[in-house]
Amino acid sequence: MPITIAQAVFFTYLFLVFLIGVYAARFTKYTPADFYLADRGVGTLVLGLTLAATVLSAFTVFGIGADTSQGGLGPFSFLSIAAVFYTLFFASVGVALYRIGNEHDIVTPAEYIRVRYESPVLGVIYLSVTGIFMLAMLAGQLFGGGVALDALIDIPFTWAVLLMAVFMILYIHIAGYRGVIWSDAVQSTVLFGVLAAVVAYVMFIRDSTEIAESASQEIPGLFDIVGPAELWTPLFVMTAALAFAVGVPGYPHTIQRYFSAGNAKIMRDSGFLFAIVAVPIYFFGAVLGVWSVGVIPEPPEPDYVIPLLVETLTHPIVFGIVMAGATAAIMSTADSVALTMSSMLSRDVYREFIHPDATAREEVRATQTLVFVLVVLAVLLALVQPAGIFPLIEFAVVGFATTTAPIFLGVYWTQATKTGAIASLIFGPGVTILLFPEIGVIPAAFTFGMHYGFVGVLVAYSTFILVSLLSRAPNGTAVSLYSRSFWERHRN
Amino acid sequence: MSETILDRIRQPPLVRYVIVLLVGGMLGLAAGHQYLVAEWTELSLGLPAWLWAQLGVIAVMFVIAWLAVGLYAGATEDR
Repeated sequence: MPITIAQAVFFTYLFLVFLIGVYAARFTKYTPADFYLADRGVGTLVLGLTLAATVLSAFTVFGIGADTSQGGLGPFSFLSIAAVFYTLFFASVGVALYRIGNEHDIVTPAEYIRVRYESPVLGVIYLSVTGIFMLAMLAGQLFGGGVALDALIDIPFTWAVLLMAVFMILYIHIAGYRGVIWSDAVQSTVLFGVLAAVVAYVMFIRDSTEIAESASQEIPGLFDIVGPAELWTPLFVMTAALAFAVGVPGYPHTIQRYFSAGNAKIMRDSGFLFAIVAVPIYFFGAVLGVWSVGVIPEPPEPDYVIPLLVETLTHPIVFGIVMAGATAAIMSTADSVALTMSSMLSRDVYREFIHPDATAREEVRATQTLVFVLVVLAVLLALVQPAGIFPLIEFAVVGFATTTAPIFLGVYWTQATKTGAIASLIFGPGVTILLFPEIGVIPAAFTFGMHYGFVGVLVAYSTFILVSLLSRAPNGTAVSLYSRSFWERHRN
Repeated sequence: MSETILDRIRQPPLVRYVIVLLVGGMLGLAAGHQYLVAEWTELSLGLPAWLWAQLGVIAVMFVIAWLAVGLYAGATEDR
């Protein structure tokens, strides 16, 4: 069977990404600091773009299209608001964790938890709980990519999932964090460029107003600020934004990037660069989603509306590039999650409990093995297709938000305790899982109109504070001077 | 040399309150504009007017965030 233009563009792009990994491998040293953090020397441009690529996932091209084409532009409202607040988190907690990471030679989030609370067991608990959401995120990405590649450019679902998985395993194995962030920088640039070009084409070459009017006739209220079902009330938007504002900076793979910044200014500036790249990309995805209703009123699958819109209105080469960009978004998130999770398992379980005398090279080899194992697990989960792309990824994001209290509050609050952290890591994620609409053990009525993830965050943080106040704090010097200084200096 | 208002804002304890005020302002803008622009549904370039207004609000929020981050960085920079 002859290869199509879109398939050719897609395979070429995949090969180019692999070549970036091969090139990055020339500079990679197989020590934990280099394999996990590129030797803590990442600059503003690459750090900002890798943050963007890591956060912008399958949701950006598939999930957001499904959500906005059915429910209106509310997702852009909450995502853009959240993005601005990310800058504050990166500049405060991000910079503090960067300094703490340098001071204590910390390379993983679980290691930070272990050192901060003087508890290896707590490090394992943190890893286990975030592991649930990391697997959901990883599987969601592969699932989304596989479904799309199957439906849109006729690569069978299973082969598409396996292809993405194999490429990721290969370039992570040979180039570690450096391979991940360099490919991320290229991938976020491609995604930005191709989505911007398509939006500009529809807006200025095609008649976007006519398309929009057709869409609003198809779904009345689609362009209302609250959406056709009036879901996106200010309360719902703000609570979703706050849940994401806490969750995204609290992703374990985001936290690991804090440790890799070259200096504090880079950390702050890259936070702004990330948000400045992310907000337009969210905008492009959201508007393409609503416009798709005016062009393809009855798509075979809501997750495909953006690629189908592009295929309908543009040339096959453009369509191929969009699919490549979508795959880029998927792999740039999945590879970060896979590397962070395997580095935590290697450093905070294998080296901490199983083989304390492991050399640096042995630790990195364990990480490489674990990358393979984790990606295989995610492939198996993806093949099961447990939920839609957006619900699965949304679940992961808000789940991460509920694990952030021990990290964020622990940076600044000397009274934060191990017991408070354990309680928070059980109750916060626990309530979130039970509220997850696909599971629905706790009815949605108990969210009182708020986003269910925000409710989980409230439970996590209030549990953490309450239990910490009732239990004994660790050694006060466990909190780095770099994080205490702002409040302690201004206490007088 | 006499101190300007800007110098005093950058120093403790005032800087803490200024930062809290700026962040509070961002939250107020984020929540409040949704009520104000809800009726702006006329389409322009295929998008409702409230969305264009929201882009402007997001830009203003970025500026405020940049100011807040600058103050915070200045207050925590020297150790």
